[in-house]
Amino acid sequence: MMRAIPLAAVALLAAAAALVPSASAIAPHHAAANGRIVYSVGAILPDPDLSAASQIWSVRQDGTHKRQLTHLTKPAQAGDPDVSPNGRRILFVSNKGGGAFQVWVMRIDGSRQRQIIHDPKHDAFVPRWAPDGKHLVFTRCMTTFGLIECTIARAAVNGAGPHDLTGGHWADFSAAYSPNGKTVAFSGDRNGLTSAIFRIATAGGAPRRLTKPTIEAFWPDYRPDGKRILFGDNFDRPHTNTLTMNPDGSHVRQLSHLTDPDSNFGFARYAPNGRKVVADYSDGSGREFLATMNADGSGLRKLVRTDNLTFADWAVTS
Amino acid sequence: MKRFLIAATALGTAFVGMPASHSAAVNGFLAIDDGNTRQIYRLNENGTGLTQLTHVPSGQQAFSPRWSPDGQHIVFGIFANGHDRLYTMAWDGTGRHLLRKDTPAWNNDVATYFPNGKRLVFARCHSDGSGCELATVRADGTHFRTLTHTGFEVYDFAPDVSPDGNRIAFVKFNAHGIHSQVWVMNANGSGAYPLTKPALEAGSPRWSPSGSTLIVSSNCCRLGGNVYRIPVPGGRPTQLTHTSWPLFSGGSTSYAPNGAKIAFISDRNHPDQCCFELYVMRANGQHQVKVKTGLTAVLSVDWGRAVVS
Repeated sequence: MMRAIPLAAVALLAAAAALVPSASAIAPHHAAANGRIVYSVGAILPDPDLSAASQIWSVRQDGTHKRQLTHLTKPAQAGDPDVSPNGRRILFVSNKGGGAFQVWVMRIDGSRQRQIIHDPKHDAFVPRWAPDGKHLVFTRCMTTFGLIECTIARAAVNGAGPHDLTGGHWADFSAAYSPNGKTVAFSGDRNGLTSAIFRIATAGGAPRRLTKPTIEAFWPDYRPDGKRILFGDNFDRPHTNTLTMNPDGSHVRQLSHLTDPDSNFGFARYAPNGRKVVADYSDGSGREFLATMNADGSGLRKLVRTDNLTFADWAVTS
Repeated sequence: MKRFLIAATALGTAFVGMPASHSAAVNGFLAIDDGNTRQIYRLNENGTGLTQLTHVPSGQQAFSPRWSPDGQHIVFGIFANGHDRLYTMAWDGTGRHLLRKDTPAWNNDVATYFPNGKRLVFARCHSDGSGCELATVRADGTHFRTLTHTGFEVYDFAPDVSPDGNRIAFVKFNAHGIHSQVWVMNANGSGAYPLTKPALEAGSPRWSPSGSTLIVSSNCCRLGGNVYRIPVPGGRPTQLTHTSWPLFSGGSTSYAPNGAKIAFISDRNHPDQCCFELYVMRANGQHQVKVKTGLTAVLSVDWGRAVVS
């Protein structure tokens, strides 16, 4: 089931890696300090497996002092956490209470959990804070005759004014705000593609594709300085690596260089200071981890063994 | 999530009775398979003469019938014991015969004859779901040869041979970051190129009797979909059906041998998508009429050429 990378390609990738600027060179001035990492263990995606558990945790960036933030009993699940710009609250999705997955918010310590999107006809996934801390985007999915279609929706953090930013009968997924709040990057299968990264203005308009079809790109995240977008390749296939590109889709660079065809480094997010990324990592032996890497691709470090799909976000020090 | 409605072709006679020996471009039987009964049937264009040709037991499924050019045989698939295998049978359903053996690692699917009737092309798929390639075999099951070589989770499927026997149209799933695209290649597997744009999500190609156009179905693997005609070697598609999302027309289509009509599948009369039925329209898309079969899960259709003396 796995795809091998030719040795020649590995050599080319290694050469390309040498051209990537160092982590210190790409760090923005006056960068925010990195706080705890918040993550969920369990795959909350369209057509989720409700027989599995999914909870939200937080951990120090050195992998110590793990805390469980949600305590749900199956089939209730919680996942897809995203920490607010001020580091004090977490958006997440949950199906607690039964029915569809909805967007919830809680404090950084897991207290004061409150549902903010009430749309029982749609599942909500992958909520993301706007830089102003007052709005969010999320993925809004509906299953029709067994087929899943999703749009990118926007709402106020109190749940008011939800509306679709994207339309059509596609599966748009996993949106992320640009740091200036003017655009949203998302992945989707628009126009017959397996998956690509698109960008759309938050004021509306037509999405613009940023990545080539052959990359099969997914799960974008803006660097805090807004100058790069992080994403994964090989959507829906084994062996995902993480890459970066300019916000217009140019200058694609590979960040992780996993050679084992059974390994993955995907669903990555930038740290608040832009110098590191946190991601779901599988090492090819069937084990899965919450892991970090320097933003230049060096220093892969396993933090927590999770053995399930791990969605993470890195909080600013609050 | 993926919905594959498999294309098929047919050759038959215009009359219920034994096929004759000399070919002519006269419309004959339609062959269909039904997902509820899991059997293959033969019928006339107006829905009369419905005849069940297969009688596979419960737990098996007969699918994707295609007539031989001489009207004497049908090639089709049977799903049994976890695998798809290709068989031939006489025009009246008798004399079922395994086309070729294969290892458990492979499924053999959706075959169609070359115009000379001496060879077939079919989709040979990994049993673990990791891909499909196209292969040819003589009608006696010998001289197996692989035509295409695909990568991981890439599926070459639903081949259809041009009337002159020189080209093969097929659908390629999941290659180069594209869901579904109709390709055309030479009959020896060389010179393959994509015919349709990714956004059409085209599948189920069928040659027109003239060999100058293909009909394809859009929206492969998602809701909705319509029948389009597209010139070969390429050009702007013409939409022939206009069924509104989430219902569809297409999935499986077949030109009438005289080129005047097209048979296709649709759920247009069933907003709950309960039922797939057989329709016929003129080749320009006009006068779309349901063919009353009494079957409610028609999965593929093939319109045969009557062979008259």
